[in-house]
Amino acid sequence: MNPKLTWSLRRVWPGLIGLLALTIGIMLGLAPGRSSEPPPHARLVNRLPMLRPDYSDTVIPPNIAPLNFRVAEPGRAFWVEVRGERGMSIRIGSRASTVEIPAAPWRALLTTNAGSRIYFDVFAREPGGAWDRFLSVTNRVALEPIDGTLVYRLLGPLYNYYNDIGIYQRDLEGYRQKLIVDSSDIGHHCLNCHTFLNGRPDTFAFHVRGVAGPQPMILVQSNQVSRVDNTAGYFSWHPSGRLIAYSANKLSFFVHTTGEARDVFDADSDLKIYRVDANRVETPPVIGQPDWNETWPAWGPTGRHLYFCRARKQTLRDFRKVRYDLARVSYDLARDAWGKVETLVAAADSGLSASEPVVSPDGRWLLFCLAPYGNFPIYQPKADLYVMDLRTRHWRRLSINSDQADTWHSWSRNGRWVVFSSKRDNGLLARPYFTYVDEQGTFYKPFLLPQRDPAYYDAYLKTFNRPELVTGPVAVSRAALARAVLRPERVRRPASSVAEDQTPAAPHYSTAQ
Amino acid sequence: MSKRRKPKREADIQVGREAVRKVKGSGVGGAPGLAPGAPAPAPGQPAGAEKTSIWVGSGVCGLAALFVGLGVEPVLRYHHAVTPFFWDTQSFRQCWAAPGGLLRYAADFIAQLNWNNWIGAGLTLALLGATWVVGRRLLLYLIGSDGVTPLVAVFALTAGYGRYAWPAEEIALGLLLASGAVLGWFALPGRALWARVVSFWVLATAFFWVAGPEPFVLLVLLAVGGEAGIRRRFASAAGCGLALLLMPAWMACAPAFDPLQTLHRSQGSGSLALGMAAYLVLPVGLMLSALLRRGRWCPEATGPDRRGAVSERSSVGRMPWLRWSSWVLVSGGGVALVWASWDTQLEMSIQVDRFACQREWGQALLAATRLRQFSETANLQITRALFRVGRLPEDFLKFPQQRDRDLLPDYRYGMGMCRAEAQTLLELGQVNLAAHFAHEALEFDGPRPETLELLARIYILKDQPAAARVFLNRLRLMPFHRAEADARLRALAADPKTAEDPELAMLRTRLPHTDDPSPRLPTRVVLEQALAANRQNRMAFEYLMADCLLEAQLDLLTREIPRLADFSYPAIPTLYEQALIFDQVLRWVNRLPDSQILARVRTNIRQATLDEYHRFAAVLESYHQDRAAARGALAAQFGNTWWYYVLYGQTGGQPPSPEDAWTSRFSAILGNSVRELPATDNSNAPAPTRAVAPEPASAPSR
Repeated sequence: MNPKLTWSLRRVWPGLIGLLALTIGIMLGLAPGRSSEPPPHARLVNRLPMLRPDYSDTVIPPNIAPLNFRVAEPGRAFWVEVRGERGMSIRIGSRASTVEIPAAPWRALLTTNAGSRIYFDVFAREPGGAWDRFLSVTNRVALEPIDGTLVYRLLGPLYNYYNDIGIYQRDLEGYRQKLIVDSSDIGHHCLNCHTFLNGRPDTFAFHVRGVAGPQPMILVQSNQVSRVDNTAGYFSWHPSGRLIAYSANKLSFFVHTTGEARDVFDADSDLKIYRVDANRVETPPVIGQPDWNETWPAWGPTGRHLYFCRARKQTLRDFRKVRYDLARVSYDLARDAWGKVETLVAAADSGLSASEPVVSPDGRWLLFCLAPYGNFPIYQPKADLYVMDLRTRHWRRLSINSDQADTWHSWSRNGRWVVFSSKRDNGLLARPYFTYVDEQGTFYKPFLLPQRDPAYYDAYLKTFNRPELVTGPVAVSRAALARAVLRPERVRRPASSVAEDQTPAAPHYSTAQ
Repeated sequence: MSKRRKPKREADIQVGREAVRKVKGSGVGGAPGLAPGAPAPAPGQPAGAEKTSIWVGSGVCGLAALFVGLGVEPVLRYHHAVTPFFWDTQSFRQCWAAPGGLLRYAADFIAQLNWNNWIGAGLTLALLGATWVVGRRLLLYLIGSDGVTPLVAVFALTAGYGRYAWPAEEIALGLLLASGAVLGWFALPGRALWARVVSFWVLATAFFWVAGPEPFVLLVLLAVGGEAGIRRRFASAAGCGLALLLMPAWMACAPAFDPLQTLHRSQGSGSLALGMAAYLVLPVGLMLSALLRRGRWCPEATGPDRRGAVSERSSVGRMPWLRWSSWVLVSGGGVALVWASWDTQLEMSIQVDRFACQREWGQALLAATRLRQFSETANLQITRALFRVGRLPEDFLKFPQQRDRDLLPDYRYGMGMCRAEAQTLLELGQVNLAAHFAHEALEFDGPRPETLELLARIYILKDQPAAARVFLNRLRLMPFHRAEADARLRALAADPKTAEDPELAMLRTRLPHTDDPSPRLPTRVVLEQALAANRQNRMAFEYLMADCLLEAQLDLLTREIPRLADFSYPAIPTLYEQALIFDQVLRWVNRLPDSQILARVRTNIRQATLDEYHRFAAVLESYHQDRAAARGALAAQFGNTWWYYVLYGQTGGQPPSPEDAWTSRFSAILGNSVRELPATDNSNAPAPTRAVAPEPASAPSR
């Protein structure tokens, strides 16, 4: 080797080693580490620590991703032990207040402690060097798992116009979020509500708005994509997969000068049935009465009842007087026969307006929204979740509600978990919350969808809209969905939907936030 | 003649070989694709010519950066069109999701440097310099002579900077990456056809994902041009060209994929062509050079042999007259292109908006005096600035107005005005309507700093500090805005209402008390509601009066005129006087009675205004009431009066020029922002007109 080069290397070598050691030292110092022993001589602080997000006193599924959090307490350093009632613990020491729980030990901890409690022991080091220990945070691990995937729409807090809307899926056992379809994939049109058949990831539908002509419904059946040229609003699959009940709404957006700015008025709506197998649209008179507005269709788990909301037609001037009843109508699929409409929650009795009925998979619990007026609860801070026991017809307001809008709920397939959108954090941007429901219909304190970075939501400007639990990941490709909108290979034009086909393009505002 | 010059030519060629060795030594040159021992490509460019070329190139890049720094002003590009960039893993992850995302992320990152004008100019210099250097290296490597092509690329980029919304950083980075990548590929060892083609496909595929479609096409064109045009390896060129099939293949997979995604982001006429020119300069230059070698311009040229070696006899460098004339031509044409494509009207419009956002009202009005095309954003900000300096009732019609203009426009005029309208509505106290337009701006312009800051203020006023915090947390993720966001977050943590903030405290007194739900409230209703919530809301009053003037609603104006008593005007503002005189004339003609209040107000109309009306009427009379014929004469003398506006539906005077004495009032304000209208509605506040320019001593006081 060149002697000059050797000499140079000799001189540089110690410096390089020093630099490397310094880098490693800094990285180790900054990185959240695992510490084996709890801080000695810690002073007990007789209260619970403040955790962000608030993961305390809640019930969590045994298959949820690690509940990373930030200790919202002053301190120079932090030490956290996550331990289970039935053994196992994870110890994390960090100079930062962010606590990131490693995935594998977390999974083992939850598996070991399913059906029992887990504890977060939090220590914070004061500027003086002394350690404070807070009371243990307790959470319970349920026996029943939650469905593995959450599908939701991400969109800005929209008014009249949209630019970027996407339907995403999130693996609940980890943090992976994947795009299903984005408005940029389909020529920047609006992606409207998605609906899955019995929580199956291979069969679902969503609606596209803003295109010229009929607003297409994209139908995915066993991962085969087709386009149905039929304008629809909200829809619900019949459990058989042969029918889709949908609403045809004439919505108009308006703005308040005080309070919550946004509002939506439904001037005219009816329910219709799209027969998937026969490619035909029907308007049964019982759910399409001319002097009533019917909307928010939802099939019961057996398909023998269609739940919906209805109100007498009013003008925009009287929008505050519009209150929807919660009703249902029986249906016999074999005979294609409709029964009579029965009112479950009358607006006259509740003084409130019903929307978004969803029945639990076991058919016992009917979860719905009540708001002061109208049928767009997401824009009403007073919108709350209510539950009805369909055996007794007794209904009640849930204790899990907040002082902001709590809406858009979906059941897990085992009926033990509910996800809903809540604006409780800031009153503007909805976030997905999960709650455990026991056999008696008790709803437990909800917890926020965990993220790898606990500060994720602090600066996140999108709203999580229409979260829906699905049993597995959606496999159909973005390209296939985009092609179905832009260059469809299979276009279905329902037989009796001539009137719908001539409906003018919907205005460019979102109908579901 | 050629015989006489031969010895010199040979000497030049010797020096040229030295130049190539230098290039080789730098790790870029060599004998690409040649077997070991094959002769290196020898440039025909003499060393003297190379030095001159370097001086010319450096000079052009330096001057271009100076032009961008002083003329275009990177800080204006930042204000107008910078793509929001955030330091977080989520944003970084998103950039992997589509072809070109990484390049865009990098371009967005460096574009943040435009936040400071001179750092932005430095960035421009670096990008232009690097473009020139890499382009030159590529051409030197392939044809042994750089010629003028890299300079043309520099001029095209510089011209793009003057379009403001043109994605100059992204295009420059794309050019650099493509040139660098193709240079690297040419330098790869190995001559086997399959190896070259396969390695190119791998490179091209990775490049497509990293840099996006346009730089990808550039890469392929350069490779094909180099292989076919210069090295005459037609099979290799065809193999490389096949990589273009990736585009239709990807388009089949992603139907919404836009192969001109970067170029379509550039706005304004000619911007797309300019972008295409910037991308195509190098391949076109390469092909032209290849043709020139074999053309009549270089009769002795032989072109490169099949191994890629460039003939020693082929060079433009041997014809200094051609070199110099091409430099002069390109420089002249480049300067003309840069000048012609510089959108000075857009520049002024951005200046108005930027100064208004920074609350430098005098500067905003000064910039407005140079405007000839008024965008809705500019109109909104000029009106705001006029109010803030206390000149709205006096000088509203000194800027072009026409009857179909709405003081608070809606979507008919595009989405670009949303943020400016939100700022205006917020200052009027219409916090919900401000939220409406601010959210539209957020959706369409993205989370830009001014919009995030505005939304934070809106949600503080709406008593939703948690929502305000989300916007501020977002703001602190942006480079250069962390300190500002942190300060606001601290203030918010200390007091969720931030009652200490005088402007927010003042705005709280203006918030509406009644709900007036509507899909779209007419301007007048918005202003009347603001006045109903706080009758001391001077901004709402002056805007309402301006709206009445604009709509020529005399009834409404005379109905509102008694509100003058709520504010401490030293005299009735001139435009209101003009309207009152006109109203009086109409009543007299139509024999309508005058109300007692109006009659009292009219006694305070200044004699000067009355005299002016008489002069106006006399001119009109001299044309026998023929409005069309009188228009020219009236416009010259009375174009900025309300009488003229009523007659013709638009103002007729020239907008004030910076040299006008009128403007000197604003110049006086420039150095003293304290003189701006206090952001209070207190009627005891000093009258702005007094502070800015004293009215004539003869003006009657109320």
